[in-house]
Amino acid sequence: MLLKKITLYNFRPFKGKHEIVFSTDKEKNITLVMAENGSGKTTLAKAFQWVLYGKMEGFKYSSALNKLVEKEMLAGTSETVKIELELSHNGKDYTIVRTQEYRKDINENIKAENSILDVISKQDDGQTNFSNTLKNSTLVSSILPELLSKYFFFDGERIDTMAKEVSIGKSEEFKTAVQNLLGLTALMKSIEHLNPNSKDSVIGRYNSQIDALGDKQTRDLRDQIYKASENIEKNNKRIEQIKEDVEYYKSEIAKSIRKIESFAEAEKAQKHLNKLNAELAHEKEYKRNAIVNLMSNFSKETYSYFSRKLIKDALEFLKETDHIDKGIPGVRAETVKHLLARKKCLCGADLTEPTCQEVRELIELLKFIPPQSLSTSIKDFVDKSNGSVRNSSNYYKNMTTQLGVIRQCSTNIDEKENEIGDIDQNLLKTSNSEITYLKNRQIDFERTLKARIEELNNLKADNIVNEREKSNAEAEINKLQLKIQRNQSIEIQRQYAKAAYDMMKMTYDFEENKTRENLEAEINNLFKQIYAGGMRIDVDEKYRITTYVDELGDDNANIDSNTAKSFSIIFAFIVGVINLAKKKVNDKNNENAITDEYPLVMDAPLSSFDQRRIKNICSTIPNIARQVIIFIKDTDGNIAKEEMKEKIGIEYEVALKDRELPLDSNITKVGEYYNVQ
Amino acid sequence: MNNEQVEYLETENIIDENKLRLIVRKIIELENENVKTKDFNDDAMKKKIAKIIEEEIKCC
Amino acid sequence: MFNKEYIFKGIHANIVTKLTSEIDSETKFKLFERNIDVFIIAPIVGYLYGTTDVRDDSGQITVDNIKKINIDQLQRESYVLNYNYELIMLLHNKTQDSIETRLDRAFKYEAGSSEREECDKIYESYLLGGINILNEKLLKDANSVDDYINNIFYFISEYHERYDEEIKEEDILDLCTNN
Repeated sequence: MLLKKITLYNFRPFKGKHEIVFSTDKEKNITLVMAENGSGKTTLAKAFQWVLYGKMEGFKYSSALNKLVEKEMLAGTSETVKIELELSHNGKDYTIVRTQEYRKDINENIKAENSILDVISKQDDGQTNFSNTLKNSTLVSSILPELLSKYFFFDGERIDTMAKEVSIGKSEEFKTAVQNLLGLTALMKSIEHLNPNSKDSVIGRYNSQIDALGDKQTRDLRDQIYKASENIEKNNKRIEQIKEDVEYYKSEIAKSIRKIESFAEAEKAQKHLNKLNAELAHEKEYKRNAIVNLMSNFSKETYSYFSRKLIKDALEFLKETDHIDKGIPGVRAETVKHLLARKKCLCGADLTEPTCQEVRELIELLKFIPPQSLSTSIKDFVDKSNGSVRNSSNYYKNMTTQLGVIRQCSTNIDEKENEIGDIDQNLLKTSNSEITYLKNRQIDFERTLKARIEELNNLKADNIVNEREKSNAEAEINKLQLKIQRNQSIEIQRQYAKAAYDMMKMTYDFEENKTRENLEAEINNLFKQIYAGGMRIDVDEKYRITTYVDELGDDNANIDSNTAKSFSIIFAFIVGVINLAKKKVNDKNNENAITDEYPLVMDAPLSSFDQRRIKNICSTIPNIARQVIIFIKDTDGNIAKEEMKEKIGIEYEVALKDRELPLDSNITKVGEYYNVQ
Repeated sequence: MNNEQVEYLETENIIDENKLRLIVRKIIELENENVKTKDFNDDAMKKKIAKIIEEEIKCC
Repeated sequence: MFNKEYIFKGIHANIVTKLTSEIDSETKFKLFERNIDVFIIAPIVGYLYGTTDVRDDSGQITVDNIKKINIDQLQRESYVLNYNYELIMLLHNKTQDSIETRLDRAFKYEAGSSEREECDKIYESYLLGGINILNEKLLKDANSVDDYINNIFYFISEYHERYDEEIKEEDILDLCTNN
């Protein structure tokens, strides 16, 4: 498809008539439209959507009519908004015209009529043909399906939303639209029309014809089969979902277990630490007590121990003496002198009279008692020595034993302190509430997982039952049918129809897969040019896109902003599709190829990218499509002009007539750089 | 094996590869044309397909 | 000697202070519980090591730099003190002095007599010498509880190695019965 010209009448900020002629030159295939901020760049990009499909999305106010015109309207009059889009498709020229009437009533209220779509084409004989209004929308759809239009008329402001749509969910519609574009429609339609699982398909009708000749029993069996098929379909959808859920829960549970295990480690370490600390305290206490004992012994008993040598020497010495005397043990001269002085004996006798008998006897005793009586003294001494030696006999043993105990305790204490030091303090930072939370969460997940798995198994079992029902019913029907002769010919047709269906389905699946792989390759190829290996994508069978950013790639894609990345994905997607379509066109062997090459119309946010990227993008743009139309901010436009100047065929400027008035814009051709043919 | 089952087997063996390919091609051509022109709706298409199959089988 | 209070002065007072103070504030261990415990053992140690010393009367006597042992304590320990006294007197100067002299020193002289005062001086000189030895053996290079314990052990072991072999318990007890 080639866009030739767009003409706007009173469309949004463009009061009056404005037109843009698009470059169709092969060399200078770029049409550059530079727009001042707020002058209607986005409006222009969206104009295509309005003229083709009557859609006006993403605007604050949805009226298509220029505001000034609306204001200037007299009550009771009407004004028209119109866009004409001239293009050629598959060798035919079309003009697509959408008109919408706005009426202002007596109360100054504006009412919009429904917009009208006209498609004008030139027939082979030169006559213009206003096609049937009923078929206009269909015709437009065949030129460019609406679903795809939002990609080909690329609206930069919707980048993030679109990137998301391509990544998840909405990709089913996209898938269908892409396949339409790439020539698989016929195949798809054939398969749809023949579908043996549908009641109303070709095969379905054969079935009902056969059944009609049969009896109610056959019809019931047939119904069973359809119902079973439906159930299987439904179950399979749900099974897919459950499988995803199960994956998620399993991984969460595994994570949970790992975390709890690490906590268990910590608990164990904490218990061990507590035990060691208790043991350490015990040892310290034990040591302390031993030291107390030791000190006490030392303080009180050492003199006795040391005396042993002296005692031995003294006793040996005393052995040589042999003073024996009578005396009284324990009584010394001092005792007698003390008694005499106090004038009273031990027994109580009065000693005041110095000449009395008692006194005289005591004085006589003095001769025989120590210190006069040495032997008594010596005897006392020896007795005391005996006692002392006995008392001190265990001293050394006790002291060394105590010392041993103290040393052992010291060693134990060192060991324990080392052990304690070795325990990894980091392990101990846990909290009980965290563990409880994790455990509860895990229990919940396990419960849910169990329920899901149960459901999965039930569904699978249900499918088996359904399959069995189906094949049983089939077998029954076959048995019944073949009884009837007439069924045979229909049966043959049905067989061929089924065989045809199988063949087409196989081809379709194969093509579909190939298409997807090619698309993925195309996109990654483009990424290579833009990112030199820094980014690539995968496209799965549901057309969901996963992006992989290569951190170590030459051209690190992470430098770009998210806007830039989203843009890249969509951009690459479109380019991929365009390239594939281009290849199909060039593939003359492919009878199914009905597509034309498509232009690329884009609203390019170049300033979201970094310099190097812009260069890369600009160098790839001209080669993507036969025709490239770029709407761009004037600031970005200068970069674009710089990078793509040899390829620009026509250049336009869009600006507000009056900076103060945002409702009135002008489109001006700035330059034309090719030789018009 | 009784008669019914023999008949069933015979019926199955009757698929002619060439005929089948011809039928498939004709169906695809029909669908292709219709994608372009959008002349016929689904119901009409199904009837046409059935006709193609019927004619091909009858002819040779 | 033992019927009036005894006062340590000067260096000896310092040593006694150290011997009776806490070596470790946490555990409150002391080498010797009371001053009198030092007073009892020091003469024995002095004799064993053949060391004597004189009183350090240098310097002012203040409340801080003396160590007292009062009469009550002395009287409570009189059994031991008198015995030790006799023991040392029997052995002092044994190579030179006669048996008679030594026996007299140990058992004859009464408190208050001039002979007794001479003997007391001898006893005191062993006491003070012993205190110096205790200082050297127990206090030197000791900083921690473990150091003090080691010093105690070396001190005791020194005696053990030197004398315990030759002192057989039975022999001593025999000596007792024979006497």
